[in-house]
Amino acid sequence: MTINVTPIPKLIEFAAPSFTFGTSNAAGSAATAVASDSTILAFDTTDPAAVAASAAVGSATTTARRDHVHAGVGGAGTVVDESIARFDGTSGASVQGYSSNSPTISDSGVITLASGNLVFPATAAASAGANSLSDYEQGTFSPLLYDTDLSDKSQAGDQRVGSYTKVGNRVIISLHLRMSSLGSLTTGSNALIGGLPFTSANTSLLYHSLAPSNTDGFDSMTAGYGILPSIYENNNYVTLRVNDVASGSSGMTVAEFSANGNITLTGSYNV
Amino acid sequence: MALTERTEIGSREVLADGQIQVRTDTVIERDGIEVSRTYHRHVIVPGADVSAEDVSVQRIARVEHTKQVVDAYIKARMPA
Repeated sequence: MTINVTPIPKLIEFAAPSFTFGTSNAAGSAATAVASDSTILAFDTTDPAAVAASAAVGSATTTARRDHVHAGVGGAGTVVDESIARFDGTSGASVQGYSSNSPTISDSGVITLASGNLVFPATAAASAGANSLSDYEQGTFSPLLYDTDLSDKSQAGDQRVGSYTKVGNRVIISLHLRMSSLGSLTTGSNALIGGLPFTSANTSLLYHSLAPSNTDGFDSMTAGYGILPSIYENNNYVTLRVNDVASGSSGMTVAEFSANGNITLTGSYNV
Repeated sequence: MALTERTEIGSREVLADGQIQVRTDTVIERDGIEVSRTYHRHVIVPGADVSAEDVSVQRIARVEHTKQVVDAYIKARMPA
């Protein structure tokens, strides 16, 4: 009786790369284990991890593969091109779908709000960046006439309306003030309009001019002179001057403003 | 449905020279849920009368507005 024995080839005897399939694929580096111009499938038996709320280092020893689907992504809904992803605030894991209200970021970095608002914190997060917009706020204030003591002397106004909008380090104000009583203000003192919402920047010689209009009731003022309102550095009040001297201007007095004087101002200043 | 209105001091900022920037918030609530908040601002300079201010602002002024701070502020203030 004849017995035929067929030798079993030993893969370890192949030169690097260990072995190559196909006809046109080029050999890789010495580190290449398998090369093919066809499809080679290699899997382990572990399911890919679901998308989580936060990143974590994995432990798999098998490199990433592309034939799988991650679980845990839900609510895609109608997705707007370039829309910003958001997460469910309760579970923290689900990506929420967007309607046409989605804010978007373009490939060039342009952020667009299709709807809704851009909200800054109530307490500004200060930034020294020249290109940073760190604050937005709008509100009201109550202007009132003062002498240079800047204290309450029972003076009163029956129209005290002020509105401000702060964008970054710039405060835009509009105010209307009509006095009804000077109280015990020193009439010979210079007149100031106090009550501004913010103190101006403490930058030497950085003065801000405001535009006056609707002036009326300045009974003690000489006709023909203009009023020059300004906010100087580190001040929370408007200084009023009158261009009544040849060299330029002098301070407007409380007497010139008078007990029923009124003025409207608009302008802006740095803080 | 109950609408309520209240005010609160939303912000107190003390500047380097002792000026206190105060923001008063007016809050509108519907059944305890805030539906509106508006701001009103004013500034308190060192040496100013704070008797009509909120107690929390008075407390800051008592600490910040020392005689030294008041004198320095008056001395440095831009002549009107």
